[in-house]
Amino acid sequence: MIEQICAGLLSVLTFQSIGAIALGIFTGLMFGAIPGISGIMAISILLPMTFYVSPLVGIPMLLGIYKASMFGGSITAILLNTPGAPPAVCTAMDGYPLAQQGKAGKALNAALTGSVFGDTFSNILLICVAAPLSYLTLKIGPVEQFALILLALTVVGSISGRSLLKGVSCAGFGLLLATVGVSATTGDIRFTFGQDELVSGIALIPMVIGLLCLPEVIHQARAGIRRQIIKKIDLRGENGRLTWPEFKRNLPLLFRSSIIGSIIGALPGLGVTPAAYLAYSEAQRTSKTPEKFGTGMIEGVLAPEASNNAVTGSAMIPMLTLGIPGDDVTAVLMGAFFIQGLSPGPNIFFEHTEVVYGIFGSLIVCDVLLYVIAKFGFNAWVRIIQLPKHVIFSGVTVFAVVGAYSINQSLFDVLCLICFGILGYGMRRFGYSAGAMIIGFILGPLLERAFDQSMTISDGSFLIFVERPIALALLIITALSVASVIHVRMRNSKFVKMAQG
Amino acid sequence: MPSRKALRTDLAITAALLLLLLFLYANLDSFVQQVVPSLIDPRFFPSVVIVCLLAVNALILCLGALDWRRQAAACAAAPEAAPVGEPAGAGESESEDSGSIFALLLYIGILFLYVLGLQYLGFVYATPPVMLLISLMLGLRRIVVGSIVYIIFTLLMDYLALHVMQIILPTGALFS
Repeated sequence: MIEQICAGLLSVLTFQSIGAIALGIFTGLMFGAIPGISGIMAISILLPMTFYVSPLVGIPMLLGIYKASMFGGSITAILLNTPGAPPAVCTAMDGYPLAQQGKAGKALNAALTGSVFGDTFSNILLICVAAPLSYLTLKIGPVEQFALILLALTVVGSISGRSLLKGVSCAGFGLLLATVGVSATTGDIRFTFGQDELVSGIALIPMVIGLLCLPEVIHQARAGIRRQIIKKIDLRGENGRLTWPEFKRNLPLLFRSSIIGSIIGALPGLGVTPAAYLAYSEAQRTSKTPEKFGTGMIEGVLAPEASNNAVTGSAMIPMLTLGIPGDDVTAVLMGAFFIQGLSPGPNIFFEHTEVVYGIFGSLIVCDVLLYVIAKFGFNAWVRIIQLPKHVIFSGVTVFAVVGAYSINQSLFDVLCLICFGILGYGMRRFGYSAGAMIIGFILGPLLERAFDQSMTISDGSFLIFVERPIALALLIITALSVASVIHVRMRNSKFVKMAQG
Repeated sequence: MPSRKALRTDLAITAALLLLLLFLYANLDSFVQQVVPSLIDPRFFPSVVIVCLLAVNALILCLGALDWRRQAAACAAAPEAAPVGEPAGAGESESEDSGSIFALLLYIGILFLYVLGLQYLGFVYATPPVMLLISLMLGLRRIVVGSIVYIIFTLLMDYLALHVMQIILPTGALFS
């Protein structure tokens, strides 16, 4: 395996791959740092670009965005007490007080160190675990795959927002939209309404960009522009950096937080935010001075950052080995794999070994570049997050249109983009989850294909799903997962009602 | 608990979705055309998805109606008090709503204009004015500087699309 990792690492040590990763990290830092814009938005905008380059250039670029945006979210959390992304809320709790004490440089350095540490830890875990796990999952046939995709759909529980039922409904509409066009297994034509453009189905990219990017621009237009000025950060002296004794003292904490993040990331459906909260509360619980948390403790920055970045590597374990996206970001990343003609799942390790190990190699390069680019550009990032929003959002609109157009070079896709943009805004406004719809749309064709194949094998008997032990076990896990999501949500809503009196 | 207005909107959306799903289910035969005979009925998978969606949306509607009844009962019990879940400063939210709708319509209008511009004028001529319009909507003040930046941005995008992504962006019906 070490030989393959080295070969993979060598395959990404090209000018194009490193340049693409650097571009991804730059974009991720920028999009992660600007409040209101998230990493998933940057991934969806740059997703079409991956269509025109090799997988070892396009996918590492998206991974660079994913990882850098996670750290980028903490820049504004520390400097402005405005988290660029939800997981950075925990970072703000101690990062902002540190910045107010004149230790912004220390807080940013701690956040970066924690992020890169967590990231590297989970990448190593991914590299060690994914390939052996794929040998086990090779025994999976269409019946088990169907049960597995049903299990994957339970991820909707974590991203549906306030209403689980609305999330389920969105995922269902995603599945329904995926049936538009010619069926891949039976060749039937469905829901085209006489439009030739719909015969090939709804393109993923206009849908993803429309649902994720355009609503944000509309929202910003509504919210108005408020520019916040940040002073230059002092990166010199004890207050400007994380010292070696501080790093050494917090090494066990970094390991603990990375383990928490890695476990949560590997379990589909939990997401990044719980990982950050759990690591923060664990750091507070094990601290000798828990009462000082919230007043500017370096541990309060290191723990959530290590944990939320550890999620990014381990979230790829279920995606690569089972074809299950752990959250909405990995669902979009899965789309990037499909664009490249790669199907995430156990077979990818045998059919595209070089690409998979190249991606593993690129993860290591990502960590190194993230540290270097972020570390030497703190003051530049501060300037970038202060860029006028009209420049950013008019650029985002043009990127979105070019991205939608570029896949089929058709203005119909641009019209689809606008329609999905309007739909996305409505969904956002009325509490429907765009992420759930995207997951349903991506998993829909896989679910249908597995179902059709299962039915063909069993001559139309549904009993096949309970006769196979692995499929039955997966269906039971799915049922348990659904029950647990419902239970947790009911308990949470009870707590909220009690708190409201 | 959501406000009565939000609840009303939710109920209306769910009812509309239910009607749409019922329409799709009733006309499934005409929306699905079988090309090659197969073991599985081609309508089976879409019909299962639609039935599940009907069930979920019916549940949302029922739960929403129950919430609505509960709120109506609470309002009847305490008519002087503010309605349950109604946020303070509802007037503010209304003016914000109208601003939001105006921004939404303006932005969508600009996007459709952009599609027309791409169709007839092409990417290079249609993009800078559209970027400028969006920027003005978002509060741009220095129009000349903005225009220059957007022209350079457009030319750069066109160059990158052609030489990096190897795609020709729309050249416009009037110029081709």
